[in-house]
Amino acid sequence: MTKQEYLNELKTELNKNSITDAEDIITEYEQHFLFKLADGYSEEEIAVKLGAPAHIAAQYAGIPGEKKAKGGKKFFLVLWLTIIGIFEVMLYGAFLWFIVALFCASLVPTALGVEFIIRMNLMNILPPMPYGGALVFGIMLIALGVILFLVAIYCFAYLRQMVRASLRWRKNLMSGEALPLLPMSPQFSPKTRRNLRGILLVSVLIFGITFIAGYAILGIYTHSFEFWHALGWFGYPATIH
Amino acid sequence: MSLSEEEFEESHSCEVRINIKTEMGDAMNIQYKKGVLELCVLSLLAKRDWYGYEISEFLSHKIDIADGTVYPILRKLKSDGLVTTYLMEASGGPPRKYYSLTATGRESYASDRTDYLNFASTVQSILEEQET
Repeated sequence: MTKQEYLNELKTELNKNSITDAEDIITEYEQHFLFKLADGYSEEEIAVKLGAPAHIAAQYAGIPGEKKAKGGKKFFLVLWLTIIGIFEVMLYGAFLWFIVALFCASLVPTALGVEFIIRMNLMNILPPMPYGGALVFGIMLIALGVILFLVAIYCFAYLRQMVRASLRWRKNLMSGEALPLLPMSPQFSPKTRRNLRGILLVSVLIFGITFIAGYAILGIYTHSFEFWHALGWFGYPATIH
Repeated sequence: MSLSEEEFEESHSCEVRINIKTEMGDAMNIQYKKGVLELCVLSLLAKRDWYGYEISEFLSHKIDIADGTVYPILRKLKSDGLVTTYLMEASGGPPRKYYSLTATGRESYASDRTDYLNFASTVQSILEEQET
């Protein structure tokens, strides 16, 4: 490789890596050639001893802050991230409200269940039924409340992790860092995960068992598969009191 | 078929693994040398101001590196604020870019030098113990 070929290739490689002050660097290597030529080396020899232009450019690219944060490029990056950000915030916002709704929704069956169990008929909203059935259905409703609550917790952890992953990704893009990207799915500690799974499993089991048991109790009590007719729920005339 | 697909797969992936390993070894070697070279450059500059070519010549005669390696190191030291540069006219040639240690550079060199000497003497004692 002659001097000119070498410098041209170095320039191409530097530009490929978008290094700032490529001219300055080229001048430095050009001077290296001049000094060496004065010492009696041939252009070929000098080029070989310098090392491959691609390697040299890679070394410059490895210096933090040396990569061009070109005004134009940076501007488009910010613009792009802002546009994505608007959609992200909308998505996260909607998800957050969904989670809030889930939390509230988990309170309703829990409160109803408690009312069933302690025989407190606030505002006279509970359908008439014998206490045995009310007790079992009360437990069922509380289990349902717990299930909804756990789903809400899981969704919240998911949202939190999504936001964190997104922020990490943005940080990497903006500052040219290469921190490891975070996973999107919720990261619970093994102990927490075990506990959550255990509670969920038990709740689902209780829900299933009490649902069947409550149905059976009221069915036997009213001698009817559609006990709600017999008990006079939903405005039907009651046949049993 | 003499070579089952799985066997082929295995031998193939083995090859890839070896390649990766040697590449990583090289990368480590380069990183390792770079750190030491930085220290050498600082050491030279602690004595007096040098121009780039001088440093490149001095080090490439003593250490087995490509001549072109020194300039990126000088650039890095400059971007870290450890050295500054100035141009000085030279008789019969283009102006030379001299490198000079900053106050931060001096401090950094002093502490890095101590660290390295401690580290090197520890490594040496471990290696010598190993031999006997």
